[in-house]
Amino acid sequence: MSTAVTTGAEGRARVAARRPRLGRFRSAKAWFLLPAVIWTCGFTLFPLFYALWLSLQQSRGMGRPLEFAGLKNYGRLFGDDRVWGALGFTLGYAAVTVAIQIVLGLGLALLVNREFRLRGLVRTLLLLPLFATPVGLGFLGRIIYADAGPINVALTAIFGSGVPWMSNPWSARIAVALLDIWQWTPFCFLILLAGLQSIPDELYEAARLDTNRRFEMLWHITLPLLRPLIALTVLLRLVEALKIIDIPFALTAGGPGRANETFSIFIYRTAFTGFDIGYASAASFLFLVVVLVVVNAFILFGRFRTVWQAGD
Amino acid sequence: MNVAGRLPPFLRLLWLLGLLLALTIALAPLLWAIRNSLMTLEDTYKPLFIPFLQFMPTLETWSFELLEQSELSTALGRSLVVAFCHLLVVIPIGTLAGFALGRFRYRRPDNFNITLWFLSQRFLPPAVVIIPYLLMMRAACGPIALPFGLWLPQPLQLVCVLEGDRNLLNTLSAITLAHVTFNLPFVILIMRSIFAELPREIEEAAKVDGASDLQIFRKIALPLAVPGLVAATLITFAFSWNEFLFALILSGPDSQTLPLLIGSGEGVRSLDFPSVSVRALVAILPPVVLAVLTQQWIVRGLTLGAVKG
Repeated sequence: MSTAVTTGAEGRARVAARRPRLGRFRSAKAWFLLPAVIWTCGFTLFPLFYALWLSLQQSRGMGRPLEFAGLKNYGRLFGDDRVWGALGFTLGYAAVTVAIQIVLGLGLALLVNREFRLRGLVRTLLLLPLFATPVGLGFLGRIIYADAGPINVALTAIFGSGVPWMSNPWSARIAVALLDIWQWTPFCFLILLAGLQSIPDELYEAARLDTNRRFEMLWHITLPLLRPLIALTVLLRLVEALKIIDIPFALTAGGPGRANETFSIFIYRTAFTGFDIGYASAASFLFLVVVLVVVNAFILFGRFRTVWQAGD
Repeated sequence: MNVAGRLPPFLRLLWLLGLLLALTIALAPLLWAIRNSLMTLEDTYKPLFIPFLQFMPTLETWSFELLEQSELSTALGRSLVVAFCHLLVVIPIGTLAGFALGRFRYRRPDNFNITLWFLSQRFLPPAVVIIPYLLMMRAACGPIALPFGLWLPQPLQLVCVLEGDRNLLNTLSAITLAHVTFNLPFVILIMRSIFAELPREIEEAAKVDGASDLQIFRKIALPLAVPGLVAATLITFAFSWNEFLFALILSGPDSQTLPLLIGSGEGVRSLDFPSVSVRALVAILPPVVLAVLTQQWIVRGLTLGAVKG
């Protein structure tokens, strides 16, 4: 194909076809991508295969040489309650927090999607939690949930007793989840607000000929139109939520016991405090498979090809 | 947009209450931390909220943590160095690739597949590669460590503590490399969507006049993309600032960055409300400010260019 170089639409391609020195341009295309491709191969693909190799090895303590173990590490995974506990907790945690974030974010977006004074300011203030350093947030959580902290003081004033946030497994989980929800609801809010603003007013005006009920409009117009965007938000959030380590690490160090041990914390501990490198690698591959299944299920159902092609 | 006309009074009140509640919840932890950081320890236990009227704000804790004690300011400096140096590498590489994906047409693999290949790295849990990273950085002077050294920007080589065995563990370089890796797909996807949106006419005119692709990129596309580039830079900076897992495994006593110092909770009693608040705020506030500065680009950034916002 003689116009392989051109930018943009086919019609414009003919202009470019008259240009001389096609070969030079043809190679330039590859040069632009090359640094990124090399970097990715060296720092993402290579470590990935390295991890795969490590998962077939057995370590006998830090500094000792590795021994080939075959699939033994993978076999061990199946009988290990700690693995399935961490995996189940991570999946459940991600599902619950993401669901709450989406619902709250959608609610907020609907609240702000009106004309009112100071709307820009409100939007800005609502997005503040988003970029707050998660570790700093977890650390701050230590004093927010402390016995003398504001939440327990308020609870004591109202109900007569506070909650021992950090010592009970379930309340510690809720404490972590609340911080997570506080931080990431603005993410869903911002994306869904952008989606709401792209819905043309005419649709609502047309619908008002049929019904005046807000709920029906929300259900039959807003939500169906937002669906691809909600799917995208869920996907992006799920991927991040499954990776979570910083908030639980800084707030409770994964505890009490193993109540807040997410899979990332489990891998970190197995590899760097237990020095069981082969086993941790095998566990990380189990984790990778789980994440891939979740992501691919979404990509299959969500029709994302159009989403990321929009700019072309 | 006024979705369904004016609200009736009752709903209007409900709407206002909902908005106020949301704002309160969004701001309360930050405001509470700021309040604590300006107080003496005894005051923090009392129900005092309004500065100057109810309590006298003091910068004592701030000056103690930042000026008198060195660990917080040292970690702060390291985080800045890592974030800045990682930008020096990730922005040029990512912008070039983003321009290529937004402008050129590839086949086998086509643009979408290349984009998806970069995108898929965002989906890879970092926990999967932390062990290889540790081992790679520890491999002293091997075929892996050597190119690292050549790649490092000059200021970084000055800061990193390369001990005799030239091991990259416990150096800021190791963290920087990891941050470049996980932010690279982000920069590529963002810049791709920004370049794809620029008007093509000028570039085509330049092409007809015989400009090379590199000239078009440098002299035409890049200047037009500067606002987006600045936003991508600031957001990437914030990501690097916030990153915890790689910093956790790759750093040692000589390269402890801010998230690590905060996350470990070292050097401060957890009931020392003012100190904890100051430390948390030092970590939290810079990216929060960046988020406000880049807010018109933030939706596009967070959706990796999928939503224009």
